[in-house]
Amino acid sequence: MIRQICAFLRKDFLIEKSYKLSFLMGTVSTFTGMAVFYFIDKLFGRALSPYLAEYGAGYFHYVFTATAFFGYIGTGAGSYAERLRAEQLQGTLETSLAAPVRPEIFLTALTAWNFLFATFELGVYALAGAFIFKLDFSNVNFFALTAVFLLSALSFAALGIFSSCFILLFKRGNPAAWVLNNFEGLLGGVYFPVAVLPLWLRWFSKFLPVTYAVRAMELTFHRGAGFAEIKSELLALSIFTLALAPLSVAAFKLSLNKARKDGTLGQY
Amino acid sequence: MLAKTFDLGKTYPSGWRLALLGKTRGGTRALAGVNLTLTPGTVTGLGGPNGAGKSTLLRVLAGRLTPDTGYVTLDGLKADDSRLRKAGALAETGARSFYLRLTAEENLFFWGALYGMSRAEIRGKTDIFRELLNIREEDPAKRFDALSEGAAQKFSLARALMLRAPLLFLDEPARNLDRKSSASFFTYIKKLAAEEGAAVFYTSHDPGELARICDRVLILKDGVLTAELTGPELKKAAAAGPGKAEAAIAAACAQ
Repeated sequence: MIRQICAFLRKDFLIEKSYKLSFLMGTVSTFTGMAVFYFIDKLFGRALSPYLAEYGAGYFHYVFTATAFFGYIGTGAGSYAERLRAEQLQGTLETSLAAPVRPEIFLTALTAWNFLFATFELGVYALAGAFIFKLDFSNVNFFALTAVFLLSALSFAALGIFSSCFILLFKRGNPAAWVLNNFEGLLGGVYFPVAVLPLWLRWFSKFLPVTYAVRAMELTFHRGAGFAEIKSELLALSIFTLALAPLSVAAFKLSLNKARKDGTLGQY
Repeated sequence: MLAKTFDLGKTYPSGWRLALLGKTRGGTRALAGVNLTLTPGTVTGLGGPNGAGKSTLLRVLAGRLTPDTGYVTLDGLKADDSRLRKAGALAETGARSFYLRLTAEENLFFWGALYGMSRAEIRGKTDIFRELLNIREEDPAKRFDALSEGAAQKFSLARALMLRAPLLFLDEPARNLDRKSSASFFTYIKKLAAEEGAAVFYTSHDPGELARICDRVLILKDGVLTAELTGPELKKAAAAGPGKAEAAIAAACAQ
């Protein structure tokens, strides 16, 4: 299992390295994104202050941590479908799925590079936050934050695996990715707190794991909230994870069997 | 490993509605009622025109495609797709199943590792195939998209051969190979079957190629096995004079 995951990591690193500007541009866009929020904060930051009081952070620090966090857990939501599609287009999907690798291991190996790179990006965010943007780390409750990270990453990974089923079966046109891309950021409190939304939209946000993930992360990071204070968020994330993780893997196996039956694994 | 198929059938659905409903009515028939045996130590050839269903049959036997009807047994036990994938290695034609931005050698390291092989093991085996298939010294270090079609085909064969699977499926393996490389490849395949007991299933359009390498030959047309030339029949034809075995296969294809 380790050998197979390492093989995927090495392969993806070598492919990434073969695109000379890819890494550089990825890092540059991280910083430009931050700069946009910095200036939005200068312009409108005060207007959002009442909504941010419970987190104990200004707008820029709120959106900075939420973006860094969402960037990491969003890797789970987006990368399964993205990597599967890349394998389809390269023509390597059927051959790699012919190897004696269990679907769960295949999915882990397939996205291992994305998670590794996302961890690196998170490190860049942390360093930039500490040394450039004067982010205050003194209140962070690291134990609670780790639990939030773990549960959020798992529930998002499950959503990502669901999303990859559409790619296996339909190749292009992925409604799950559309929902994830368009609604998670908008309704989940990544770019502004959910309290800003009208009541009817806030009702929809209750059905998204990102809402609980971002809120719990902000509270543990800026206010040092412990397990007791974020227990309802942790419970919601646990329910999402326990329900979605086994279902998503089962759906992936079913989709794989269907694609094998139709003979479409090698198609794009 | 002895592989037997029982009444294998496969029809590709013609549209997405049919595919979604799991119905195949009106689709393209690729295989129908295929019964065959692949014996250890034997190179079984499969001839037939384009679109006969040869590649489909190989993909079913290699566990990459699930048949609509029938099943396969390995050493007498019914085998599902997963068991077939473990037992067999399929060499495909062309470069599309490789990572084009990696070197040929890095590709082999990757595919070998997926099958649990160490880099030393892979390197050892690829060194053998480098000589056997006349792979040029500089080719392993070249990016896959910079290789000629012939060189890409050699690495595709090396990938399947290095797995040392008891069932070896070769889909038009000599296509794009030069004379020297195909000659040593034929010798190696015969040796692999005779000395290591591999059951080799070999497809080709070329009756001459099938006559040269195969112990027996099956003919597939429109998804149905229409003829078989057994070992003794092929030997008898070959003894009758040069080109006679080839002519017998061509005649069976033309029937």
